[in-house]
Amino acid sequence: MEDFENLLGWLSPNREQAAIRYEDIRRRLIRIFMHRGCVVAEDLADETIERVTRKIKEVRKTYGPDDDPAPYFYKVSQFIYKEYRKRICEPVPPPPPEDEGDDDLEPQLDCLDRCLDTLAADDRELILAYYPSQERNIDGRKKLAERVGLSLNALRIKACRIRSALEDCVYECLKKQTNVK
Amino acid sequence: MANAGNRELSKQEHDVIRRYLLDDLPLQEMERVEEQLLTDASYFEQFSIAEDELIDAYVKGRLAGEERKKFSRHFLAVPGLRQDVNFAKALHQRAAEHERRMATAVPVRIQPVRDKSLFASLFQSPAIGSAMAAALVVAIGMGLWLNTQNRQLRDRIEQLQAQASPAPQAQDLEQRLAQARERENSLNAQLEQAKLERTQAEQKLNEALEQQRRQTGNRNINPTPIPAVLLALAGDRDSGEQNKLQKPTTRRINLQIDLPAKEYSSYSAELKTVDGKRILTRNNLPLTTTANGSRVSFIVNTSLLPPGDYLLIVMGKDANGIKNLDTYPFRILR
Repeated sequence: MEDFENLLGWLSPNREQAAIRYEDIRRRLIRIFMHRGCVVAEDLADETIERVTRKIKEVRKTYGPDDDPAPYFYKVSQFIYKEYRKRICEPVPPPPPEDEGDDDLEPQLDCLDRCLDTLAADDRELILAYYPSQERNIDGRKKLAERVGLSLNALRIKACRIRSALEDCVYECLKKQTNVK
Repeated sequence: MANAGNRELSKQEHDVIRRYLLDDLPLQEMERVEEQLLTDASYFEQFSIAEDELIDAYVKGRLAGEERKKFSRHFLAVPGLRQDVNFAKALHQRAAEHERRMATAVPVRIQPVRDKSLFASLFQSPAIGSAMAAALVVAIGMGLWLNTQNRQLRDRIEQLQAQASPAPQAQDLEQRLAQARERENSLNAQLEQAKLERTQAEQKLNEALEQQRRQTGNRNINPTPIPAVLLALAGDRDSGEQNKLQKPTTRRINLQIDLPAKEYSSYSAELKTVDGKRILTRNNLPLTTTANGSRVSFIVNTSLLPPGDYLLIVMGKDANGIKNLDTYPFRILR
């Protein structure tokens, strides 16, 4: 517990900011492990953070107050990845052929509907309008950007943030559904 | 952790990310990307955008050949990434439905159906045709007028607020501001009423279309009607029986509640499961006057209502704040 407090203190002197950075680092580690083909990406991200937490007292001594802790997390994650590869003898199973691999989307759609309902009306409208069905994405998005008073790049970022929040919500919803079953 | 703001990536950086996402980079370059992902917030954001766009391209069938194979090998093998693909499929499906709704929403209001013969035959019935056409025109016109009035008033309020200062005229300004607010509230109420009337007119139109569809066997008439269900209050003698609903077969359902009279400036409702899990809340519910009082409507997506027991809690808002009015239990049968 003391080590964990120490870790948060290393991430930021402000506790709230520290919590945000903690979540941020964890989220990015998960993405990295996923793209390294790790099936248990969340576990490996947690293992990385735990390993850093255990060594926090020594590590902090070697870092200045303005040094970014993130590269250290990355170094540790590389060790964890190597250990994981040694532990996993079997290669990742190949994906099923595409035509047989379509998952049932009903739970996704159900959760997506719930999560769309939790968005502010403007955000919901924006995210649904951001994906036109035809090959006129760019024109459609330019018009949408004009309508909402954003540059095209700012619109892409805004849509990405809304999508990311929606995705988190859907993920949580699906987890709950799985637990209920 | 650097936060460089919302910078755009160069084409070269974009290509590197794309190759990373397709598992097509040598290890050293991969590590460079990954370190930047952890240390540069802006880079991570642009990476996420590129990732979403690649997934979208796959989902929409715009990835071909070797790239598509690489994508499948990489993304479909890892549960977390596969889930992102499924999420994108679901999102695109809903976006396409939304696009279709938006495309048909205008014709439905201005030109109710595309099939001219059906349109004509529908309006040949004087009881339905003239009443609905008049109601729609009046409701749409009133809605537009009230919207304009509202916007003007808001601008005026903002001007007054901007001018307000502790100068001698402050009291006078505050008084004018209060009057303007009062007028805005009144217009808001009228706007809600106009919206409701429009919804009702559209609903009548839907019902007529549905009737027409049943008669003609034509399945191409839009939009699907939203069935309305009037809920009885908890404690009413028959509420237990009345509030048992067959599992809805439509995408949306209109739950209606009768209230004694319009006593509050606005009404909201919260939908919960009986064990207290909040499903959704709707504010500014449309209100209509009935012979015995007033009625509020609550349109809900039926995917949120699997078979089970629910509570609909109705709240009223006035100058003293928000007050819980009544609870309406109901059951969706299997």
